[in-house]
Amino acid sequence: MDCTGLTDQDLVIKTLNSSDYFVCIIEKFAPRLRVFLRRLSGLADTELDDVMQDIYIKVYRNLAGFDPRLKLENWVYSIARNTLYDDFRLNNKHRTNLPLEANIEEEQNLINFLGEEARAEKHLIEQEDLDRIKRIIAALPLQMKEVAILRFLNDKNYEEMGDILKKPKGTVASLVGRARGEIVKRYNQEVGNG
Amino acid sequence: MAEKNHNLATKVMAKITNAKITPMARSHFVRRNAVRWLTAIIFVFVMGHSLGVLFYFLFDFDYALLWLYLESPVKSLVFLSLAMWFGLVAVSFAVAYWQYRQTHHGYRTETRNLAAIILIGTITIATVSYQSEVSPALDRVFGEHVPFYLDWQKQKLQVWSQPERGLLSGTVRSVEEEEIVITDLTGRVWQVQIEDALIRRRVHLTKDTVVKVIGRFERGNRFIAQEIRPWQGHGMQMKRCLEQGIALKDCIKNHGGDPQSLPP
Repeated sequence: MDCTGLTDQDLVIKTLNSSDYFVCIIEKFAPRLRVFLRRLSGLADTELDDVMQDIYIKVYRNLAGFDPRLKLENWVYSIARNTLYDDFRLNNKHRTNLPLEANIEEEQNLINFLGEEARAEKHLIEQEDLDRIKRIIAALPLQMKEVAILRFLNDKNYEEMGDILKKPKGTVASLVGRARGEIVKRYNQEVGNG
Repeated sequence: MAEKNHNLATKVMAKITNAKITPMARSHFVRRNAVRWLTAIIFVFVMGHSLGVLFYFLFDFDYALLWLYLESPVKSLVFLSLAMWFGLVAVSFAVAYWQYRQTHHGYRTETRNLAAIILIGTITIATVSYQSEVSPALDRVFGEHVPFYLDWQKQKLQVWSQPERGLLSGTVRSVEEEEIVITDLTGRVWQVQIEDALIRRRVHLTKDTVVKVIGRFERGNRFIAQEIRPWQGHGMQMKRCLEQGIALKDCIKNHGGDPQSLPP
């Protein structure tokens, strides 16, 4: 299946006409989605695969409801997080706090977003502190962790986050502020305690 | 990683083919969105009219006589009715808010903006409902179908059947410049002096109108009015009985009440 050059909207239209094109949608978003879900849930690969299958089946069934004004990726993320939460609730699963994996670009995002506030709180975030911060984010409550991952690692803006979390921008901004404050607080506690 | 994602795609496509899964029709989403919009709008209207009835309670209640209502063993009915309308306002707000949030872009509206829009819409509808007499009509409809409303009507009737305490009500039989003649709820005829009386909004002093009079009992069948109010709201069934010439005891009996509960 040749998917090159197809926009999100093209992919949706083509998939609605022929299910074969759905492979393009799966392969386009699966890598980032897998990382997002693993960070959020800490699920092992096998379990994650099952959840992702459920997610993509839901995406396929609801494809005609996709609003072209949104980014397809954010719409898929939105279905993904709902499915993950349902899975946690229905199967009584508990997430594990695996250390977050992040590439160089994502680590830079983290420093950019958290650095200023941490400096104001008297500490500098250095490269060597990143592991500590990633551990702190991994241990946050699920909804705060989700916000932190989307904003500080995936670099989503408030509007995109609102489309994923189904919340207004103002609420997203306040959630981000709360997550940032909590991370910095825990970081300062750890650093302060030596 | 690429292999994992390729395998995932293969598994998903196999599931779709084997289970013959198809995308839901676009019309399903359009219909669902329309139903949510419609539900939200309907509940804003319900909330508006409920608030209209509360306005009616608020602006047309006999505050000066509150103590008389509260003296009664059925005083809780007043609060029960208020609680019912307040409850309806609160539930309607929650439903309208939730349904709007579930529409396609409903989640994007800031909470305070959404609350403000709903409240402004509701207050507008409530004002129109109150001014155009829809709220009193709604109150009347509830009076006919909700059992505890009828008890309240009896209570109101008792309050306004105490000429010795300055409270009188009845049907206007004739109107002259300084005096009206009314027949009270027990059939007794009263000459009511209205020369210095304040005549409230909504009072139409014409034959067969039912009114409430606040004033002073003189002697015999004479009563000096200080204020004349319309007989409205809770007690409309009684008004109808009076207009149709049905005896008060029969009226109460017909509506499932106990005529013994009437004042002597």
